[in-house]
Amino acid sequence: MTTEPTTNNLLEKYYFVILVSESSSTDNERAPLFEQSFLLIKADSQDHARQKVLDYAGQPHGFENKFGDRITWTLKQILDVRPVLYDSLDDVTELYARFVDDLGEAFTVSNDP
Amino acid sequence: MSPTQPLIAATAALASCGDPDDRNADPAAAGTECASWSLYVEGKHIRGDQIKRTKGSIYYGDVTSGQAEGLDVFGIEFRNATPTEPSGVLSSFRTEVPVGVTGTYRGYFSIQDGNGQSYVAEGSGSSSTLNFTLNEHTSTYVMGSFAGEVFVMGSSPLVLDYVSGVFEWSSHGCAAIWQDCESVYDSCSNHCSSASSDALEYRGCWTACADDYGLCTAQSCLANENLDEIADTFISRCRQAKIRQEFPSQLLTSRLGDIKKGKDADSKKAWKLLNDNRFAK
Repeated sequence: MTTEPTTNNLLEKYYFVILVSESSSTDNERAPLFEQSFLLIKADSQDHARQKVLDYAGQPHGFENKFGDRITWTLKQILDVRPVLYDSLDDVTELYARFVDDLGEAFTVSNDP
Repeated sequence: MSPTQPLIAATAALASCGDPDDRNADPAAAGTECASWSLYVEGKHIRGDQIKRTKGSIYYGDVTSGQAEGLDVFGIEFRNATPTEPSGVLSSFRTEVPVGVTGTYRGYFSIQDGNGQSYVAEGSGSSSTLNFTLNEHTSTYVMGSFAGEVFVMGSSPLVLDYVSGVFEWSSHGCAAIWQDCESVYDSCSNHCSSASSDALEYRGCWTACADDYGLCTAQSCLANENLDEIADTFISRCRQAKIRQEFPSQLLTSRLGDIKKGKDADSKKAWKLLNDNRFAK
């Protein structure tokens, strides 16, 4: 009896994306707040992935908090768009890595995604 | 200190615990005082479910007058939601505990097991002693254990037995204390299975159980483990107040599970805020 080989290529054609958003408020005394997001995006190419990011997060999004202030979130920058490192999901799967010269660089915005 | 100062402070403490006349409130509702406890006495496991305050489930007052007139006495009283039913179980104690201090204390304690049997311990003026350990003690949350000797009321001559257990109380409703902790109650018997009928051993094992219970409660601040809880209640219990500045107001009354399932941008933002440890207490 033969069995079909199991395929685990769940991450094929997925791209790993890092983006940063910033919120603003009608309350001028509110401290600034940023959000760093990590996304997995299924796409045919890097440009396609980037377009999907813009479709997903490119438009400002606002709401009111309980104090009546208007909070608006805006995409500040797409930090990186890359194919995931491996196609399959294992017990431990590394999706993304980047090398930096110093620790501070790991937390700064990259300008050449 | 002037005589009026403790009275004012005690009034404030009572006010933080709600109106004493809320005895008909739903103990399962968020925002209502709620307590839960489990104990062993005379080989019987007595466990309180849906317990609510009847006449001040937690208070600070003067033990000599029985009223809240000072700050030197801590008291707590648990009663089942239907205390007039034959199965209604009452457990209460009050002991000398300075506000905001944790430790081990002696005090008065009484239990009715629902079948007409009562057990009473007197911290002073009699030979029985009962020790309480408050592992957590704030104005909104109390958790601890107790163990010691009690009189088996009605026995002749009067018999001393051992009692031990854990208790927990929250002013934020049952959802704040009954997350995934019910199994911890069951594990209390495991903690104490090898203990001899000695009050100190009982106290040790039930304190360990109380620690587990507190740990369980702390872990329940993961949003994903509290999907039935209302966001506003979860935030009060587990998140810093400043998260409300960032949170969509219309979702404060939503359950976490509904927010998680929400596909709109507000729900997604709210779910991310609830999961970010930046806002954890």
